[in-house]
Amino acid sequence: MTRAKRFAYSAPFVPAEWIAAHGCLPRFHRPSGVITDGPIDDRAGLCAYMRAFVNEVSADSSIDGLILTTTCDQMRRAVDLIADGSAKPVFLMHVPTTWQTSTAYQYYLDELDRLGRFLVDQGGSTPSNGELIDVMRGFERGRQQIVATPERCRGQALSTALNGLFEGALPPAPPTEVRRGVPIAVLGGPLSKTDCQLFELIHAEGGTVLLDGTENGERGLPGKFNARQLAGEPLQVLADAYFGSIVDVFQRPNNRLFAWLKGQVKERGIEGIVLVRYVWCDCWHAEVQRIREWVGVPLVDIDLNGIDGAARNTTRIAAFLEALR
Amino acid sequence: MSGVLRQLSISEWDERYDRLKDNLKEPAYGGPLGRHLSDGDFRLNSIKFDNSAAALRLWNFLLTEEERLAEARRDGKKLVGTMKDLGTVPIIAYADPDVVAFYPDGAWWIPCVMELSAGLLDIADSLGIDESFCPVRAMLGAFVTEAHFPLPDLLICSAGAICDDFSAIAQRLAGLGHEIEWWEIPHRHPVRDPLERVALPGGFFAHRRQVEGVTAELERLKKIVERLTGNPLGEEQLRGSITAANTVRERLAELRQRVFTAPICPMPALEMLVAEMLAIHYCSDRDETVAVLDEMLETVDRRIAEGEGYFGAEAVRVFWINPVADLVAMNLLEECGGRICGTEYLFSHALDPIPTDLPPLEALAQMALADPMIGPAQDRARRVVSDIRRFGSQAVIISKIPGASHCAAEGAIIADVVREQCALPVLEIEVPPISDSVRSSLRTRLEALVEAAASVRPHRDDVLDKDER
Ligand code: SF4
Ligand code: SF4
Repeated sequence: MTRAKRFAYSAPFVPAEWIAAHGCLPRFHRPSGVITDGPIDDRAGLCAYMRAFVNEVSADSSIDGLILTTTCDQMRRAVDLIADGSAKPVFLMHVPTTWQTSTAYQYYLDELDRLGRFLVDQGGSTPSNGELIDVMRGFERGRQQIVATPERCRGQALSTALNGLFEGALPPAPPTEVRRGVPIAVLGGPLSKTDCQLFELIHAEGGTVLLDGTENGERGLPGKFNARQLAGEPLQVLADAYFGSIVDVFQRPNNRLFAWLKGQVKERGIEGIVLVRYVWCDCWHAEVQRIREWVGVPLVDIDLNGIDGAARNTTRIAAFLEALR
Repeated sequence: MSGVLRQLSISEWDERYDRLKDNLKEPAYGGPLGRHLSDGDFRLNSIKFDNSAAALRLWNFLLTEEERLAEARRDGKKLVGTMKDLGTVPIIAYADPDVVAFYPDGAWWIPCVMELSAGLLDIADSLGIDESFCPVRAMLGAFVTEAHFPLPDLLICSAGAICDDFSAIAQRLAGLGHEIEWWEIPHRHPVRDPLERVALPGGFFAHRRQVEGVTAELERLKKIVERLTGNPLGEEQLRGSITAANTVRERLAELRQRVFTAPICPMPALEMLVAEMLAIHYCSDRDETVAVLDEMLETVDRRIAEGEGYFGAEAVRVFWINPVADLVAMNLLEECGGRICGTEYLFSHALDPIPTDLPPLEALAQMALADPMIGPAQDRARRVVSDIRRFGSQAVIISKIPGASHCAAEGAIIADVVREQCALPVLEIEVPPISDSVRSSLRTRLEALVEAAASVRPHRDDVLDKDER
């Protein structure tokens, strides 16, 4: 029997349910490291995370296609860079940056429709409402299990759990940690597996990460499905839970991100923020100062070059935590 | 007998102005160029200008926009700051005679023109927007100082498939308390189904649903402008505004065609760059824009008829991609033996005629979707190739913009397509807002490009499309 085709994506606005309902396998891919050769060569001005993601999934024989989004220029233009040379099909999904209008919502729905047709072209099948609802219910149950264990909501543990869920085998929860140290939020763009070492570094320096607010962390999880609407309009419910609920820095305006952050800081008793961003990640870079002024707790700004994330920031993180203790 | 013209420095122009002034018919904003130096526009000291009265008027028009905006405010007109879309939203705004639209994005060039003396980049730095962003970060400083344009009554900015630099900087501006109306421009994706495909001005295609979506967004913006002024904007006014925009575009198209294809360059690069920019925003006076372009056309026509021009017939015909952060670089190319024959300054969609056989907002939606920057870089490259063929360019310069999020990926793609399809030499350069420190290396590279192009020097027909012959 041929296996279902597997499609890798990075932005949380791509609904895994939609891919799975088409009979394909979603892979919420977190690149392991960032220095890999592949269709995108190393040149000044390119984001190391984008390069790592594209090059790694391009080389991974278990992945049959890529789904990228327009959520940043780097990912959008990555599609141009690999357009002629990619051995795998690539889909570029426009995720609207505006979110307050019906036009933006409709664009998102139109893009889901286009994504669906792409998946069918690649061997998937158009799901009935019933099939979509079944997948949505199953994934939502799984996500609830995942978020019930805070240790599973951070860094690599979260991607492992989600991908396990998508492949039908949710891995066992890691042991519960005893909370100690200064409550920290990690906030920012996505993190590669290598750069997730920052979590251990924070831990080692006397902090406890109580919130993974990175793009491929807890912040990127969809909202709850509207149970009452689900039976009648599953696609709209899906769009609400992803496009309507996930907050990000690229959105215009991006005040929902600030409101969300303030709420989380208060709810979880966060005392310090480690803001992580890759060099050339303009949308996060531009907001560092405003977040610092706005959020009311100390913040350290960590830029990552994709080479030695944890190591080059050890001193700064240690000093930051020392100041907080 | 053909005459070789010589560009003038600003002091030479002022001497010439003294000699000519009694016979010059100048608009109210006229006067010697040297007076702009006292406004702090120090880079003018390093620029070489075309020597015609038309160019004098053009430069004076450009350098007095701030005064026009202040006057419009005094006259009770509403000022609308339109950001990023380059050419579309002002047409809605100008449909109301009591509105003046302008692009705060124009602050892009202030660090160059004022030789960093305005401190705008320092202000951007202090707001966390450092040199890893493109020169448009100067806009933040301009808003903070309020010294370069009056604060608009309404700010409108496109979002979506735009560059991260602008999106991030505009959001930073909003974070400083400047309220912005955002509107969505989607990424223009390939459309396979011919029934769903809409042919856009300029040759690209968009999906019918995207045209509908952008039309709805422009309808929303129209209502916002109406709320600002209290005046309804009817279809007739919008059509009138489109007709007026097309008048500007037609003039500019003629100017480009004549200048870029003339045997000897009848108008230098910098004046042509300024003229192209007028098509986006009219320097806050649409009627005067037409008059300025008309005078340029007359000058160019006369020079072509009389065989007059710059740099001689041997000058290498260069296609220039992206605006350059230091204007002096355009002069430098000319010093190195090149002349501009073809440009793509990020807004080629604003030069195309707007369809007049469609409902006005749908026509404008098509224009917005024809923006070369919102689709694949390959689209932009194809348009460049078609213009290279049209103008018979012999070499291509891709001027990378410092810090710009699109340049790292896009430059290489365009260069590959141009090399493959036109077999022309391509040079990628990056020029900072004040390029004095890199001038000698820049000169060497430009000279090398000119030399390489001159050694292959195809006859113009060699690069024409088959069906153009
Ligand atoms: S890290 Fe930032 S720039 Fe890089 S791909 Fe992610 S969002 Fe884009
Ligand atoms: S120059 Fe490029 S990066 Fe800068 S605002 Fe314009 S399109 Fe954006």
